[in-house]
Amino acid sequence: MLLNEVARTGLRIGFRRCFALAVGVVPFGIVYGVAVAQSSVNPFVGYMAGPLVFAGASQITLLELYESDAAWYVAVGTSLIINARLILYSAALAPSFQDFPRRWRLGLGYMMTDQATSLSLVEFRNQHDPVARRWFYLGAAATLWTFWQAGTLVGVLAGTGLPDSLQFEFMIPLMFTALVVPALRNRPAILAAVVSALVTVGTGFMPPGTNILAGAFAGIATGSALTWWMASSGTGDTGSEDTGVEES
Amino acid sequence: MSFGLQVLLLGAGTYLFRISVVELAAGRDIPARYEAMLQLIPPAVLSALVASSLALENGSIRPFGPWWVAAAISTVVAAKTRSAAWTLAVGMVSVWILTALW
Repeated sequence: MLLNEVARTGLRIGFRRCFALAVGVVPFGIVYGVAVAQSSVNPFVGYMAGPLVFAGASQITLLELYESDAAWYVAVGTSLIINARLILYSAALAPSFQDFPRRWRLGLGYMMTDQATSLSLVEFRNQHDPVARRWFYLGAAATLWTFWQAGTLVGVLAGTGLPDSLQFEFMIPLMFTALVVPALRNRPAILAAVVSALVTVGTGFMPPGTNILAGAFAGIATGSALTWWMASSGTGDTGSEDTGVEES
Repeated sequence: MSFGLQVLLLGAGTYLFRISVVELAAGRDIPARYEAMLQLIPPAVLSALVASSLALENGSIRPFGPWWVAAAISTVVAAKTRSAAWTLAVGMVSVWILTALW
């Protein structure tokens, strides 16, 4: 056997947790691929954005801005703002990634997505073994990676997407709903989510992506304030069954 | 600048975002008070992504309709089952049925 039991188990669970979400990103891989096929961009170069960037919303934005003759710094800058939430995910994963060897951190970092990050942080609450953790993350992240690239390839080759009547746009809020609900396990987390949603909507007039960052920071700040207030007022009860502190 | 070069810049920047805090924090102690804050990142960011994709449509509030009801149903399913597969399946079927009926 090439891989030991811990590795195989981790990969298998990661794959299983991520499979439905990975199927869910295929339509968006197709959307990006079709946009490439219908653009002025060389199809191979367009396709290579999948493996090189691996962040769907930003890939679509970059292509749209390029096609509308935006200045390169506007196109790249706007796309980077959409991806800036990855810095927050990097922070959220830092405590668990600390226990991984450097080449694992650099390799797994490449595959960091909304899905791999949130699935892993939920899994890591009950899984404290660094080796099992990194294999789980790899299983989930590689599954998503494969389906995303496959969807893009189908879109580039087929050149036509799924009919609008299938409403695959709805998959976006749906997927994030499936990811956020398991993360709402105590009062500070619920407050952070509610404030974040309200601020994101309230700042909807701001440039794409910046309202999401505004919402996220407002949510994290108010959630943190509630955590500290509950701790200092001696409430003791943080409203959660487990404090979830990473102590591995 | 060619699209290929823009892709390379975006890819490099995005990779740096991904490894940024992970590498800065590597080998250092993360104080416990920060860990409580770090745990609020997924609920805050994911909730912002739900809000922006569900409640906003081209910068203004999406009118009440099938998406809102299907999202409410999906939230209940996610809370009850904690399963992404069930949430996605029920959510998509709900939005198709609701759109047909609306």
